Amino acid sequence: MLLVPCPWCGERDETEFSYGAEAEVAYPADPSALTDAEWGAWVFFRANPKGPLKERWVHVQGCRRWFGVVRDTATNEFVR
Amino acid sequence: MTAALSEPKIEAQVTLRGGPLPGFPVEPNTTAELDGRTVVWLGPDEWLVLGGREKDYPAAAAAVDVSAARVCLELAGPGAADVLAGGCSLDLDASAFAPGGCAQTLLARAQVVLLRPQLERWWILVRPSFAPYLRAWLEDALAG
Amino acid sequence: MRFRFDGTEYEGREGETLAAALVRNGVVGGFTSIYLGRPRGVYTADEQEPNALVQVGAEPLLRATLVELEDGLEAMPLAGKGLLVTAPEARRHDARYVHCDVLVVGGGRAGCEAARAASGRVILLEQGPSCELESGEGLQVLTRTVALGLYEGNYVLAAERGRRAWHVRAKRIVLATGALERPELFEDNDRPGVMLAGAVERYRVDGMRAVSGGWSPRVHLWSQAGGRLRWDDRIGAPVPDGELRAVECTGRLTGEGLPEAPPFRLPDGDETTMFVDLERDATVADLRRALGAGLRSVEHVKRYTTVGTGSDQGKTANVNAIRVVAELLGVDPGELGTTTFRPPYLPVSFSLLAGRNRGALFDPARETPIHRWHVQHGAVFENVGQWKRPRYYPLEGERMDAAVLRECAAAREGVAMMDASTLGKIDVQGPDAVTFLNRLYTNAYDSLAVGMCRYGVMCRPDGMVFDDGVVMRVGEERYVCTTTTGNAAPVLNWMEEWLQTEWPELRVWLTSVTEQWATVAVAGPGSRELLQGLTAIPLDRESFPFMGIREGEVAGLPARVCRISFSGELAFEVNVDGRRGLELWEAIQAAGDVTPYGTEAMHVLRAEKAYPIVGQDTDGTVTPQDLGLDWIVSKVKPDFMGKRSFARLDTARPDRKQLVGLLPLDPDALLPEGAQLVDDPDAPPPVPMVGHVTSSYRSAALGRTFALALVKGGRERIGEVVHAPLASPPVAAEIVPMVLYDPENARRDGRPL
Repeated sequence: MLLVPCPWCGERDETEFSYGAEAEVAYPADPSALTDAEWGAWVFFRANPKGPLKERWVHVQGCRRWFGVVRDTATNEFVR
Repeated sequence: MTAALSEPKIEAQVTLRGGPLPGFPVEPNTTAELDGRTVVWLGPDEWLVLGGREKDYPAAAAAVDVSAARVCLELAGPGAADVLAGGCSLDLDASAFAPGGCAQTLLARAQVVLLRPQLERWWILVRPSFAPYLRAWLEDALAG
Repeated sequence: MRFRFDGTEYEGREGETLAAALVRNGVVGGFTSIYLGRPRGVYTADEQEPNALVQVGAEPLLRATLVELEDGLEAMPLAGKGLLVTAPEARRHDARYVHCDVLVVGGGRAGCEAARAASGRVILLEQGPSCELESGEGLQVLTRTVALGLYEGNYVLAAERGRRAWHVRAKRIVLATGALERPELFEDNDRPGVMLAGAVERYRVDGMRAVSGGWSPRVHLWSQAGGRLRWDDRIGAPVPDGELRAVECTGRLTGEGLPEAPPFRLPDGDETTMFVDLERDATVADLRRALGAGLRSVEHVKRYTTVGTGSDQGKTANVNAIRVVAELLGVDPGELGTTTFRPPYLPVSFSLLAGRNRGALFDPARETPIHRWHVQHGAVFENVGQWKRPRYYPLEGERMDAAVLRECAAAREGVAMMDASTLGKIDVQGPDAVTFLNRLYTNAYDSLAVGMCRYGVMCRPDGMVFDDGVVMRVGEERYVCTTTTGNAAPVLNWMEEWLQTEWPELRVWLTSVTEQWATVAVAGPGSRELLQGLTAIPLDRESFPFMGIREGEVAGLPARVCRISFSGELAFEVNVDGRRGLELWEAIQAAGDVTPYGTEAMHVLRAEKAYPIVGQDTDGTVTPQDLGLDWIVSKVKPDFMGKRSFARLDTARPDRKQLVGLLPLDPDALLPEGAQLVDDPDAPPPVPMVGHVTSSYRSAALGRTFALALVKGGRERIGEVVHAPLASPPVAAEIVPMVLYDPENARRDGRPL
């Protein structure tokens, strides 16, 4: 049971959160200028490394804020 | 049974959004008493005012009447925290959840706003649709 | 006290375990092994017991060494397998969540020392009945409490007396779990009369052959926490190695203070009677055969021989297995590693894990403010997510088919009413509200005037329909968006995600008002007349256009009324403060002959108009265009959620499944929802599937059955026949345009007042 560090509420059980995958993958500025492959990459693909990943979580049962953290996907430790 | 369940009526509630108004709690998960009303921190731009109405807060960026959107279950007594500890994973020790504090969390399988007006008096704000379930869960926990 | 074992009564003493009492009563055997049927007896005095398994009432696979005697206890021996009893669980199981600064696991000498030395809030878990420390200021001692697992974030799950699940979150954990004695290997080392030396001493019993193959530290929790292990040659077992940030080991768990292991050698003799895993009847011969088959890793050998897979989880077997395999391979045991340690440390019942979450408390059953009335009037309910919604209201002796036909007829010919309170409602406020809505919905909202509402569809970036609903403009910068019942939370979460992570510059705020409003839909040609009797709001056609919003009082209650119709008939949705919902419902009921209708009739009525239901006619792979909703996709907005995906090759394929109507050739045949459709049911398999049925009903208005279906290139196939090969014979149906009732929407404005 992960302890997820909400920047507002502090550490809470993971059952209070939803996961948001890789962070900082911005919505493309002009989707119409992208090829199907480029657009598809944004829609369907997110990084999934073994090791530190900057990712998003949302405290859905709490303050409902989205935030970014770095988690080591191999050890499940949140990197400070 | 060292705790008792009751249902205080809260006549009005309003959700306020935007920047904090004067006197509003800005520290996360705290409450403030203002003009006889309890202002509950729900998020960095969200407060719930118990006893408040939309028209009372013209300076708020947004105000939404939510008077019917939550009901209050009160659990009081020396055993109240132990009852909650049967279904809530927060640290309920006074050192971690002081009187005047609040938290949005899960109690059993219901999302709630948990308030602690006094050391041995807790207010559980829950959506009315979940109230029959939560009442039953609390009564079961009190009987156990 | 008295207890019964295998039908025979014995005398027992306070504080004794079942195993101790049996031994003291001279029971040397009494058990049987799982596969070979060999006689067995109590072997140990601890939780690692592999032989003395019992069933006590409903509980299977208990170790007699852990069963505390009670007067009247009845236990049956088990040959490795327990009995699942179907009687409901009578005992109460619950949970406690606690936090502490230090959690000590193990209440022996080293554990108690660690607990005394610790500061802050301390919890100590001891799996046995007693501990020299007692609870006091800042210290909570839980005896008869076994730690089952150590999870991420120093989270420990423990079971107290098998009845209470403790969920402990500790800043620091001190493991003082000690060590377990293991058997020696020799011919017939499993027979009754052979017992671990430590157990012989604890039971103070004579006449046993006391054996000891050494001591293995209980490294399970350390390993679960991710701690490394290294082989300690002196004691012949793995010990904790290295460091973990917030978990430490102390006492005999580290290997300190344990006796040196006797030198290991494989004895000569019949290896088929040298038992390595007593509970699994696995022998040295089995291990040798595994290696002969070419297996080399401990994990493979374990699976091949089943060593370590019993309900005792190999507590007497695993270390000996490693030593045997190392010996046979001629390698150092340390090179082999160990199998993975996984929770639970001891078998745990589902009842314990379920706790109070069973029966009526298994999952919340959400109720609207009008629920009591539905119950009192005989509604049959269906689950919509966690909500209980009336499905239909049968009259005395009426079956569902008849009730639904009657309710539909009332909605199309008279007046009917429905509890629509469960639909999601989201208050959207701020100067950038309309910009925000335009980005998320496929249609445009700039021209929506105050006091009007507009149907909208929301897609995900992949272009697939996510939700639909009506957007009401209730103020200059204020809107209320409705969602499908099941999507109330997902849509709000979706909106917040975009607002917070991509568009934080937008000045708009979202608030859930799903339960702030109770909603009653009043539908039918007679609805205007009936409702006008309850309100001063002018309801005539000219004053109150289709998709208009009016505010005022209905039945003396402040209300917001919308002319929205999900049935295609004249209809009004009346919204009042949630706390007055029941009052409103009863007032409308009392106002005339109004038939309550449920979700089933609602489904039929909207399907006759081909209004899709998200999650019924869509499944995450259906676009607005597939649904025939091209008209709702803006041609003007430069971008909105999903727009780019409409141009993707796959999304623009001409043979995509499209929503069409189906009329079974037999007007009484009801196609099952979900039925696959084929062109030729007699074709040899595999028969290509051309679509599936999404919604299927009997229609009062049409006087026959009908269905909606998603069919490949369906709109080009009007008039063709497809088949649902379910039973014999397959059901044949003609593809027809999807709107089967009132395609000109002539019914919508109803009769003039």
